[in-house]
Amino acid sequence: MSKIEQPKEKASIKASYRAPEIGSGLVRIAHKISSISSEPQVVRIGDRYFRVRELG
Amino acid sequence: MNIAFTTILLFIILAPGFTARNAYNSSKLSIIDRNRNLVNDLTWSIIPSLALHTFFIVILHNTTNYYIDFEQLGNLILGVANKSEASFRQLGDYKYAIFIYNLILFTTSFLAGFLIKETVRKFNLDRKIRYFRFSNKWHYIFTGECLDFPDVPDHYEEITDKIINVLCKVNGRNILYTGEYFNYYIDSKGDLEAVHLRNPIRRYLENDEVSDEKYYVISSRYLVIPNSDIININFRYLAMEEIDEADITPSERQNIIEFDSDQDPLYI
Repeated sequence: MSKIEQPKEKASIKASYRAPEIGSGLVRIAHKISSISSEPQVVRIGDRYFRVRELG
Repeated sequence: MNIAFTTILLFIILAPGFTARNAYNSSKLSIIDRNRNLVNDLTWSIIPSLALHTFFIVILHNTTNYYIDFEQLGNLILGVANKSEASFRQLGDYKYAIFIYNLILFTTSFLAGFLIKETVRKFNLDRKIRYFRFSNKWHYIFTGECLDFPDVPDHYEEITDKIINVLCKVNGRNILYTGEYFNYYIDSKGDLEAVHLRNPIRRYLENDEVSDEKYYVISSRYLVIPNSDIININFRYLAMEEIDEADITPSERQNIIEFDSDQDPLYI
């Protein structure tokens, strides 16, 4: 059994302004982002890459 | 002396606490019931009023030549018949001083209530300590501030995106709406009235099937769902950070979740 290392730095940058395509794309793939794993997952929306983690 | 005058006098005495409580509850964090019971409100104002009056009486007695004549005040409240004439005469003599005292007291009460609310919010006391929590529970859920409650992992400041799934029953069929959180609306009792989503999609929820083909992109950027249709709501708080392709590790590369609008026939 190994311990999953969580990123130490917080993603404090708020999505103050973002192209609508990114938000819409995130909605489309949200169901594929695991709620069980606390490990960040990489998503590609268009030609941009994001590291996503569910909180809580 | 009639009961009406005594009632007005008591209301004026309790007004500082009433004003402070209203200022404290003036934000969207508090439920404001327009049909609330005034007697109940005034009862809750007794202790704040006593505290504010005590504070002001101490300042008045120690910094000016004026003082509160409790004997005359008692006569007015109790409506002592043979002394009311003298009490009213004294009120007339000091009407400007009494007016200015009350004006400063009421203004300070409003500012005190407002500043206490701001202090509670600034130091996140409402998130850390249950006693300070405001009455609108939906605020903490929809904004994600509930992540800062004790024993909940992660922090509110980490949230960049909020995805909401709303399960509704329409014409006997279960429909799952998904979208970004945009806003929410509550009624005067604090019950949820509607949920406002951005970039909504939907699918029929039958046998819990999940596949991209089941989703339908609603050709609108915003969607309001009334609470009467809602069965339950699922909240997902996400921390999303843009990265370069070069930063992706080999293990992450194997599990990339991809969405390309050009290859999506439903994408609008």
